Amino acid sequence: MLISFLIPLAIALGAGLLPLLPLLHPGLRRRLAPHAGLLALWLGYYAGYTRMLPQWWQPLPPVDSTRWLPLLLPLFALPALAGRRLWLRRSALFVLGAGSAWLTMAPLMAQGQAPLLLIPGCGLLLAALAQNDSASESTAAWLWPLLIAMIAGTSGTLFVLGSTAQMAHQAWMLALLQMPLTLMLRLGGRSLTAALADSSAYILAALWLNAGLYASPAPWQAWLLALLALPLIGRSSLARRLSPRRLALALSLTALLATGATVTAAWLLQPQDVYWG
Amino acid sequence: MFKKIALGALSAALLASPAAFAADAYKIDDVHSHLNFKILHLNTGYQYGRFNDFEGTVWVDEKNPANSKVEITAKTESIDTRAPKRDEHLRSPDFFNAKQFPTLSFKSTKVEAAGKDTYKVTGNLTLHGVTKPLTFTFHKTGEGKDPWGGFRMGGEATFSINRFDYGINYMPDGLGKDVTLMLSFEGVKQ
Repeated sequence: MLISFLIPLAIALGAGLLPLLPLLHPGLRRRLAPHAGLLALWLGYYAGYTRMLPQWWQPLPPVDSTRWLPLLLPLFALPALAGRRLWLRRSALFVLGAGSAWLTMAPLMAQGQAPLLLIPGCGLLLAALAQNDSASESTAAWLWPLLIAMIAGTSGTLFVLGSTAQMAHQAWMLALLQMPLTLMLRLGGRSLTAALADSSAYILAALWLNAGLYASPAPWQAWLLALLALPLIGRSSLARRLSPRRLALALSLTALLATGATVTAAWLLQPQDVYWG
Repeated sequence: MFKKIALGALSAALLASPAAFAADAYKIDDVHSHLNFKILHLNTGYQYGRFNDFEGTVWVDEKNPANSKVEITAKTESIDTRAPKRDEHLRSPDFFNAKQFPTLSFKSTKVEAAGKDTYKVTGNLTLHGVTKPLTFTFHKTGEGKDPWGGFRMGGEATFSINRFDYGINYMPDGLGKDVTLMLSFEGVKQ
């Protein structure tokens, strides 16, 4: 069972590394690096997702509302077209985020069970996560994949505890895909592109929404995830206020605390009760 | 003109009604009925489970089986495989997504005689929000008066579905595609 669980993750990582191959050629780096990151994310995510859920695109539109995520993902690259106009990008993300939350919650709304505040809430979260990372020092650029990897990895663990391995799969795919993104930054991408940041943020937010609405996460998990989102929202000011060394220390401590909290919680919940298939 | 239409409609209704009333309705007794399933796990062994909460009615017209009908609805939340964590997993978006799809149901569209106490039932199975046609053989296992003054009839049916057809396609390596459902019921005549 472990092998069958790991295969989509391996496929996601492998596919995510492919767009980085042209960057090995110095002449192509400057031109291709800004786009390689987004391609790596899309290719890796869709490859892993398709292996995990064969024929996920049938039927269209999806009947299962947790399957809107892969269909809507490309749309979240569009707000980046606003360029430096952060207000426009944030407005577009608010609309897209609220719209995707509405689609996800539609079946529960029909049953009269939906917490409607999540619709604007999702939009606000995605808008808040959007920042002009390229305007900050370069520390902000590598801060993003580090934070996403930490949050996505922790989210995956929490999703397993909430009995949804599918959401965990996707969260860990997102965490693994930060590796090619970090490589991309090393090879020539000087800054994080807005399209990449918005797409990653959408995957995380949509997974939290799907798991929160349709799986069985404990309330404390939602609070932990909310805490983890704070450094993501405040990353630009973190990069401005802290020296790289202090920032690295702060991040390491946060990662240690988050991992420790998750492991402690899992221990308290009696790990032998975790179902592994 | 309108008088002719009205008379025609009335005649059609009068002709149709005796056939509808000829079918006896049997409400499924959930205490003495079972809806079980099995699926192959890791290409190794069959895992069994059941739905604890289901209801339905079977209309039977033995003289004219075409008038017979079957309607059954089960609550996906009631899935029970003797392992609470596994049940929670099955209810999650990975499989049944019970919060979005609280029921699975079958409604027959055609019933034909297929031998003594055997019927071929065709209908639509709705599972995970997807409706697909399904045909299976139904065997009547017996009938008679019960100790509580009622009259009951029993039957059973076994059929297989491909879970991928219904969008339940997570873990293609760990779990088989084919799910066998086994229905055994007693219905109390209404």
